[in-house]
Amino acid sequence: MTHRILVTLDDAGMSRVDEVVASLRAAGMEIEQVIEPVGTITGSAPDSALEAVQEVEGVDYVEPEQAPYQLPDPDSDVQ
Amino acid sequence: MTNPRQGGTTGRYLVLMADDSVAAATRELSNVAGINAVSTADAGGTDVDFGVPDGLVLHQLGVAVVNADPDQVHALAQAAAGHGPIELLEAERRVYAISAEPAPDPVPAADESLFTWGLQAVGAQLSTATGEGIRLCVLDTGFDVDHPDFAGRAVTTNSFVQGETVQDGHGHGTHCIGTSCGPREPSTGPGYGVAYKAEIYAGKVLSNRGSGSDGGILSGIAWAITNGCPVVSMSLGAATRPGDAYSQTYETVAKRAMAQGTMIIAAAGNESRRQNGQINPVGHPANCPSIMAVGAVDVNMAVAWFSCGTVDRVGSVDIVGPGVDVYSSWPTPLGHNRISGTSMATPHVAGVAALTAQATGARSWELWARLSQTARRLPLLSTDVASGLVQAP
Repeated sequence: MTHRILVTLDDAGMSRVDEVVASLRAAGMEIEQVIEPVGTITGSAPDSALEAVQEVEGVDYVEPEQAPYQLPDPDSDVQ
Repeated sequence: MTNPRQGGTTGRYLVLMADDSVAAATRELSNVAGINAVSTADAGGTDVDFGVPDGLVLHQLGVAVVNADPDQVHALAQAAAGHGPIELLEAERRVYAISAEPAPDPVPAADESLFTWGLQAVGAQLSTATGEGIRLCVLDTGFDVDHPDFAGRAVTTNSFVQGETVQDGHGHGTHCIGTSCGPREPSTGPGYGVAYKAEIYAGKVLSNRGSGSDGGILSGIAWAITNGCPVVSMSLGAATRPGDAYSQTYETVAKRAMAQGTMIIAAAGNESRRQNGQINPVGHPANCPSIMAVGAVDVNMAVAWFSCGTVDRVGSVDIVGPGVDVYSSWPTPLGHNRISGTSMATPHVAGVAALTAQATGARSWELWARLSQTARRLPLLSTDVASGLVQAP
């Protein structure tokens, strides 16, 4: 099973983002977005790669992405 | 003053000792007034007896509580007037637990001929601040960029939703931008915008169908940081359950934003059903400690029936704003709309944050502190309204 994940870099990782991204790819993560100002990388990884992704130097922690956010319909009284 | 339950003295006296002179001052009590006080320093970890005949030295405070007859009082007062280790003598006051007085009924501010009730409730129309020079970022469903109420305004846009322009096909984003940054004198209807001269940064992170993902939201936050926006308004979130941990990702992101001068303000959520006695916890990501969580009140200063509350030790409501029957802009042809939600309370707080940022120069945690400190206290549970109703500077 593949998981959509958010990878947050530690401060050291933020200073060498390109290297960390390369290491994440090598660990088996498919990279979608590298959001440099906040040090977060989005993407996906299979079960078998999750541990290796967490172990990459410069990674603070890995969280599953939230289920999609959803507003009520425009004609709803409470939004 | 005439209330016998208030004020009054005990007949005992407080002796303030000079800094680092507790031992010398204790000896002085004995030398000048013959008072042999017991020190808490000698009591070890045991409870101290405040009823000792002569007096008690509270050594950590550098204060002695003493019984003194008129001659002794005179001697102590003379010692205090000199330059010795006794600095001050005061009669001990009788104190009582503070009892709550019933608050006066709030005056309904429902006359919306000039301004919405929300603008009046936060005192925006009385403030000289305008938001000018402050970049206020609203991350939502985008913006009706051709809305006539915003003609001539500085608006910067970006869409983080694939395949959609920033044009608001839902309405929610245009409504939130209206409350935070809209006009005071639109061509029709009441003024509804708090920071009416703020620079608008409209980031589309929710699609025209109202859905979004972490990647878009975090990209929007990054965009606000990069553009030097002191305030980010996020009327979005996901429901949580009691005991859920907050997201470490969003907490880290919020701290990094704060470190760069950008404060994130987010809706607490609409999951409560208070009419049934049900109060649900603050949603994600407003439950992160470094994101200001906004609850909603109505025109009578009651908590809105849907407004999420503080349920866990972490994940508190931090402040409240007007969030019931809020009139603001809506994509044309409708033009305006009146809706409710903590989504509507949030841009009131964001607008006031922009006014405060302009008026005081405060950013990040200092801005947070000023918003909390100046909020109007409400006679409601702190778990529902925290520091109270946000107030314009």
